[in-house]
Amino acid sequence: MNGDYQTVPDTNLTSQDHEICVAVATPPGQSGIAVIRLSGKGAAELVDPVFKPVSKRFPPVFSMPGYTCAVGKIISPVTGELIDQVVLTRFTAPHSYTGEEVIELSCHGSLAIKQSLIDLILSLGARAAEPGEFTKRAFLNGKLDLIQAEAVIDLIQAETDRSARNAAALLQGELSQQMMFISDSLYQLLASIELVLEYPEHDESDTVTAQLAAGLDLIEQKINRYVQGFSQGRILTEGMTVVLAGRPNAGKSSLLNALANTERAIVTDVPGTTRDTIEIKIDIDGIPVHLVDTAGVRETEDTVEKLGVARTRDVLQSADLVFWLIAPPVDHLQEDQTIMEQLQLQSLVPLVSKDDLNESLALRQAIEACWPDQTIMTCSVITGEGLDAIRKKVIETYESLGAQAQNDVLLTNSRHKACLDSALLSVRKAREALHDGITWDIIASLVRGSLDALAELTGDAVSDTLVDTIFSRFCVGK
Amino acid sequence: MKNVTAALSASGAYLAGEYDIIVIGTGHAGCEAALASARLGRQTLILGMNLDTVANMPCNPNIGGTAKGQLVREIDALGGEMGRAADRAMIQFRMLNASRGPAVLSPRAQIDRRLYQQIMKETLEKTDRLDVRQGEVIELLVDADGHELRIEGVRLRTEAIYRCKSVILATGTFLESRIIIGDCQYSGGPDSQFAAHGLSESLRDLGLLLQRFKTGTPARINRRSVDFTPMEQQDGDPIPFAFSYENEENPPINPDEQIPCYLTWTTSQTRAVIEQNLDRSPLLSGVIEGVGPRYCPSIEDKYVKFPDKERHQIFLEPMGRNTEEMYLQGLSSSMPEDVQLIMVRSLPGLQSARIMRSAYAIEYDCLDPRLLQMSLEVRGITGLFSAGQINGTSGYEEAAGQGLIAGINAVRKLNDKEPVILDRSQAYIGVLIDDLITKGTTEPYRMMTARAEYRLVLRQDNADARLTPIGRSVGLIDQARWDHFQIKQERIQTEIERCRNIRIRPSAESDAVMRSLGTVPLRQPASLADLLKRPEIHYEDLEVLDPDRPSLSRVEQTAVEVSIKYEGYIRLEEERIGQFRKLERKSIPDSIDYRLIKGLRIEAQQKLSRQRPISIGQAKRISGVSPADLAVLLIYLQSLKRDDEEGKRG
Repeated sequence: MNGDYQTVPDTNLTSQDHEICVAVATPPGQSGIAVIRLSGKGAAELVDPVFKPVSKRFPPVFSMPGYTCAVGKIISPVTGELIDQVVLTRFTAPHSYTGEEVIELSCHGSLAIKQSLIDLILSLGARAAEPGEFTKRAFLNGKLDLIQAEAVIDLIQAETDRSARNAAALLQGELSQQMMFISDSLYQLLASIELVLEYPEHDESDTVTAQLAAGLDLIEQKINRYVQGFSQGRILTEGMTVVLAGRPNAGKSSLLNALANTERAIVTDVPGTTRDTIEIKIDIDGIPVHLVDTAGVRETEDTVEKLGVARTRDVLQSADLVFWLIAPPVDHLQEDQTIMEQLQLQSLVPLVSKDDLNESLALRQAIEACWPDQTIMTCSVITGEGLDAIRKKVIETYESLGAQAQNDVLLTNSRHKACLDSALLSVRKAREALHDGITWDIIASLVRGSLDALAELTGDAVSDTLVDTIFSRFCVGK
Repeated sequence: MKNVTAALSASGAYLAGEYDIIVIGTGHAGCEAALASARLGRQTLILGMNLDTVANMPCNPNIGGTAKGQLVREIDALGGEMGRAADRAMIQFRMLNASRGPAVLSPRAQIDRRLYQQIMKETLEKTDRLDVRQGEVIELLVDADGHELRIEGVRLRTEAIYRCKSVILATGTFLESRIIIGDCQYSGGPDSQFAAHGLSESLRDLGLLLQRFKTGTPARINRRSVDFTPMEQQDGDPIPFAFSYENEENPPINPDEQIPCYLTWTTSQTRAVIEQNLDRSPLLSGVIEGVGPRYCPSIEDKYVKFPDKERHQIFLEPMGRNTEEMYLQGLSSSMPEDVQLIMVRSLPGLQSARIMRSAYAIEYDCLDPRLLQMSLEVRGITGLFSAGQINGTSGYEEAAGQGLIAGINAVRKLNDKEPVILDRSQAYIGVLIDDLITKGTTEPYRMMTARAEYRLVLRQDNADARLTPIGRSVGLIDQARWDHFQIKQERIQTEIERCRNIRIRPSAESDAVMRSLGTVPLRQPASLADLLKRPEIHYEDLEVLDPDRPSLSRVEQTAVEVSIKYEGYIRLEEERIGQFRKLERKSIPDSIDYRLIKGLRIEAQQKLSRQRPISIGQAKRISGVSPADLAVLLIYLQSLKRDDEEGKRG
């Protein structure tokens, strides 16, 4: 690097001495254009020697003001060949995503061009960024709070529309903001308690008691709504597990294929072909769904199949929704009924498959007799009938999970959930204690416990475990 | 800056003596520091500007109160003197917050202030290895040869030079102090004593940063000029408790011999007087530059800041048994004397009050406590400790707590032992010192229970269980006291166990007892412990149903009841303490160079370099260090550890 160039003035927000790291910031694969991002002090000096602006009116890269672009060619210093024509955008610290000096190259999105550009920049002395490193730097430089940083990871990994929308809301700081409101209300309650405790001779406790009861109640409801939202939010990051189960040869694999429009599962008409579970990810109206095809459940002598059946039972227990496929003929219905009762699953929906077969009407009537309260669903992969109803059922199940929840932004992260659970427990105990006439020192202690938990959620309080958990997601290298 | 040799070469200078430790100041911090030092075996000298004001209480004539009462109990549990002296000098006792729970229960006593001084002075005089001497220190003498400054001695105004290994600064509000009564301002210390001149400059010369604080005290009036009829009389408790664990078996004062306090209120007339004379208030006109405490504002401040509040409480407190002087708590002011008189006389019952001493404000120099280490030793000056109001605090109890710790740690340093550092989950003293050293303070710091995160554990009833073992290992708890302590703890534990095991069956008798206590009758057998968990039931209520119980003292009964009744909540708090301690135990090596840590923001790097926290927990409390900075720091420490382990393997 040329030492004569004037470097960007350092500011308090900038972390020092970070090496310059580089990575393709757009998704992998071929695309129209792609963005290559360099972050770290000296990034402008690093790329300047290989960037030839198309017009003389563009200053050297290191003299460009922040938030300005230049069009130019990237020339290999070794061969003198043109690698690509790019748009270069300069960001100065701390006004960038990472809070550091950042250069972004918008290049053409072919794999070969991206690779050549990255190789070139590495050869100039940058280091390949680790997964999540830009976000890690943004967090460390105070550009993102913890929830936002975690949301970035979620956003990158989001597979469906709904997941992405929620992660974006988290990134905007909506959850952090809501948690701050709750903390503020708790602090106000705590302050009024402390006033009474600190100045016992200036007794104003009567007004405070009423204020306290109402306040705790409201906060409890508020936190609870976010906690409830986790059952939906969890699905947005982890996916909803929808299991197709039933006795062997009930048509599970065919249905899986029909729903997925693929040939992922192997379909034959020999009972027991699917001996292990098969899982594919599909998107149903923006809901990420893990569709699981299972081994048929029945008593069996085949060892391999037996293992498959055992695994099926495990999968069923953890499923969000189970479709129990029942195919004609009607004679096996008794066995189906026994197995379903044994499983005792809440979210189990009987589904008559192969509805195109002759015996299905008799089967439907027999099932209605068995489960008079249930709406009987039917489907046929041959005619395509009933597939939309199945999709609709998935959406309904997802939405019913959110009935109690706050809908603006959903809790998606189990770490957040654990913190909020703990905050909720403390507030609930405080409310009960107040009701039971327990002394105020205890109530104050419980309110503090709740505030601790919220602070851990937003990252305002750093605990040991917190740092470990989070940074395992950010791949902090040595 | 000079050393002892240089000081001795001045004309008239002479070597007056040689000690291990010299304490400057005979206030509440100085007394505790000197007593601890001498009792722990060090030749000690305590120097005061006026020996008639040893352990003076220039402001309120009481000891204890919310959080402060806990401090006194802790001082006593560690082997300090304040609790014992207060027990002997009290003229009224009240347990504050009786209905608010054991965590905030706070003992407070009105004190005969002359008697208290006399007791403390006599205690100093009768302590082995302790010399008490009148004299004003104007300069600290240091050896500056090494890379660090090292205390060598002190120089007095009379050119007496004392050689010593350590100095404990306990100068209170005397440094360059100024008294302000309206337009009348002059150099002077509390209670019309002289200000200390010279020492401030010596401290600056050593590179120490001083700040200017302000505090104030109300007028004193003659009881014979008061009409008590419109006032509310406030008597002491029928059962007074002791501050000292040594006296807990016997009430320190005969309940009938307590002297009452009185409550009155300011009036619209008071407000009018203040409003008409605001231009004459030096506080509001900007004459006073020092920063005053928010929690103890002057009456003019109260009216200006809370204009909606019509009236304010004023308590009349006796100054002692053998005096007619009374203290007007809540009426602190720096108004001119003529305004003060009209103001005082605007209160019901004080229409013809005669003022004996005027209210005044006082401004003084103090240290930025962030210059200190957790041991209370000044960073960069070996052997210089500091305690009390010079560290930016306010209050006798806060001063005494620091004095005790400074005394202990000055001795331990000379003995090559680790300092005693109490953490925030161990003691209010720990909270106090940690707040001062870690966060600093921009106004006189008063202890409040709200400052303690783990208040359910830091109770006034269990200060001995928390701290007496530490006092014992330090060497301030004698054998008799230690034996007493152990027996008491064992009796409490045995009784807690017994209460868990003894079951009460539902019966006509138990139904009657439950009903009389306002709680539901038993449906099935329950242990005594189960019953005690009901908010309505207290330990003594169950005696009828539990005739075979051992005879426990009052305090033992309380300890048993609190431990059982609040068990679940205490356990929750202990879990939080567990979390807290994890970070406190993640120590930061003293050799750490923050400049080498990549990713640390410059502000954090500077603050950490300056304050050198001993643990991640402490680093976290420094303002300007963000969670992200801590994450960076933790990762750096982990990598240090990993390198270290790899080094060992390689």
